[in-house]
Amino acid sequence: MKLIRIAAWALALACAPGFAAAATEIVFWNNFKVDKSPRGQAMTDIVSKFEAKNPDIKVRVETVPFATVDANLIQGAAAGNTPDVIKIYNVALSLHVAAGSIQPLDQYLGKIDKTDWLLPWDSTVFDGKKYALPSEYRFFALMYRKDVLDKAGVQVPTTWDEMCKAAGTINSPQVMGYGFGLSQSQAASILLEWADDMALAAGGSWLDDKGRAIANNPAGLKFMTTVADLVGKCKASSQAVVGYTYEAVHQGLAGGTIAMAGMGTHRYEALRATAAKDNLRWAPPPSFEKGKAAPVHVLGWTFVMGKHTKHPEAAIKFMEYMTSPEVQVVIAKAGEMPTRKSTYNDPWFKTPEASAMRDWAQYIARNGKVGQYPSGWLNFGQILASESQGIVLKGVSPAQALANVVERYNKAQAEGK
Amino acid sequence: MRSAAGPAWNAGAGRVREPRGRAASQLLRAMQSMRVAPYVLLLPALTLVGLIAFYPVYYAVDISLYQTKFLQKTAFVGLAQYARLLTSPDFLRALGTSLLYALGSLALTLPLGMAFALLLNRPIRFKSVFRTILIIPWTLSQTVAGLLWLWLLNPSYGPIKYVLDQLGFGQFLFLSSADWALPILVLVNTWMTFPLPMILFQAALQTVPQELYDAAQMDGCTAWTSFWGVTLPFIQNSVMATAIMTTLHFFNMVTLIYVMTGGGPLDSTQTLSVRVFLDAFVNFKVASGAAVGMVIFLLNIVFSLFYIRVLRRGDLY
Repeated sequence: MKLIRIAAWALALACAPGFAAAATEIVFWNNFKVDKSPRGQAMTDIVSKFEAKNPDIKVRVETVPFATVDANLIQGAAAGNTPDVIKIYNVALSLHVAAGSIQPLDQYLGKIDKTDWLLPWDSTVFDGKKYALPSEYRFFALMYRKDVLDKAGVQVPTTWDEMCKAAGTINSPQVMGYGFGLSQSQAASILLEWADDMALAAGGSWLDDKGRAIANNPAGLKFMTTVADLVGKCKASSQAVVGYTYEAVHQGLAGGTIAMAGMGTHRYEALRATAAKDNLRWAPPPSFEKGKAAPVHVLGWTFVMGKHTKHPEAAIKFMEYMTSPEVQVVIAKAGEMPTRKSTYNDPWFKTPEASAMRDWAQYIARNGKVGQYPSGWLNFGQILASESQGIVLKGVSPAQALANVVERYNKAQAEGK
Repeated sequence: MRSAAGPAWNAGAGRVREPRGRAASQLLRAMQSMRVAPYVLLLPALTLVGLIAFYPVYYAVDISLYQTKFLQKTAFVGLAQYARLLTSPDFLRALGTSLLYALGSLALTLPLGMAFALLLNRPIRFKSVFRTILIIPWTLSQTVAGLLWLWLLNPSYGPIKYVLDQLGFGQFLFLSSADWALPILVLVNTWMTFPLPMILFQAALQTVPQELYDAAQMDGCTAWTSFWGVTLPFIQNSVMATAIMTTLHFFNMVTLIYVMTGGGPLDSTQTLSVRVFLDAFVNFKVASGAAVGMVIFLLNIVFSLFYIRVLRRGDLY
């Protein structure tokens, strides 16, 4: 009995606020596992340094993968319980603003330099309120296998017309000239990123400000015609693209069974770490006009604050630290492109190792734009994928496919909520 | 060792300790006289099951009667979600795809499981090694199995493509073909699910008395007629229970299909369960997803009742 009493007292003391660890604990949802991998190790080091600098704050890192983070955060917010800091892909920001699962940062932000960002501060502002701090940038570039192009005597194409010819020359049952993906799996992400940039390069957009599809326009037609031509007229790609995802295209480039493909710059280092090594190169995405650089949408992970955070001050401190130039050099060395201008003053960016990242930063400074995506964007991707598959497999005309996209998407948005 | 009062390990069990309080004593007596004790003891488990099984069903029914914005109900619409589904060609197509996927998988999984169970029930050497190897696909997660088969079937660099190239076949599109994607998914699902029926059937086969086979042999039965006349009737309860379990599993499957095709090409593999996932967790149309989920729930109940009815009709043992 005495023992039980002693144990009860010990438990009560341990649970008492004064006896518990004085530090505030914040919960951070990260998109990758904090393990022994280079970026996992880098994250461990960064968090340890933050905790050393801020002994009153402890960070509990929880891994919530890309595929589930949006649903989990929205469910959590509906239940009145969100983590303090979350990494959200910028495409999903408007979704969370609309769902009310994140909160504006303006009232908590300290003296953060609004001009020290590669892209404008307003790029993560919604309805006049700042919702996110960008963690890293990426854009959809052209990745190619130099060895395959050299063997075929083909130059790196700079326009879609050139691409059609060059990839058509290379394409064979063993090697696909230009690889792309139309699968609905993995949220049709490889198609959405490509289509988003193609519409921008053609001077149009897929959706209007109210989120309604306006795809049936010259820009949309240019994209759908390019899809049809790559598989049909130019024979630059095979019908297999219908089932391809980001992962399938990545593997094809790594193995040399795809000669060229559009892909996010964040995959570059990972691709060069495969058997492709130095044969894997990058180039700006082809444009529709010779001599004119193609504009690109800049994508990437951002830090946001959960709607029901219990420790906003500690959370913002952590977010500011995670986007500080000091930390961004560390993530750059792990292959992620920094978002702060001053980060690029670090001597590491003068090394050959950093040359690609330096070039990307310059490219997006000149040609980058941050898009704002309505909450139905992923649904749009599903429908766009399905109708693009119709072009490839059933020979549906690009104009008809576009009309179907507009009708299906607008109908889906209007009903069944 | 047993004594007149019971086994040694239970010595003293008959001496019921007097309850300290009067109320407790009365309660105990009431429980004994009314035979309510089993119900009282079952109550915690029933409450738990009720909370984790019935409440979500209630929640799904409730939310399917509303219009929603993300997870918030915005307006009561009654059965409008269901009415819309019944007139939607996409929904009817997904219903057909679900039936094809579930029944196609069932038609392959159960016979395959039975065939391997019969083989493993024979006195062969290295039986446990074979059984371990055969169980491996079942131990894989649906994501891993999906990614593995995506690689095997890749029309550009997959090993199956390489083998077909060497044999001089033309290019196969595999999962990129609207005609082949669903049959391939059924085959992959069969590959990863058949070990479960195999294990359950093998356990059931071990309960069939050898005397029955001896008698059947004396009556001139062949192996084939013995199977239909002795084995199957004897293990029919296990077969039906397995059929119910796997059917429910197949109707509810999302991950394997989503990883391998995402519902395409041309929506040819979009089952009801994939539709629920897309509606609720990609497009955040929770009410619509809940309505489709209720249709799956009803399908599961209908199939389970059908199996039970068949089982009762043909009850031989």
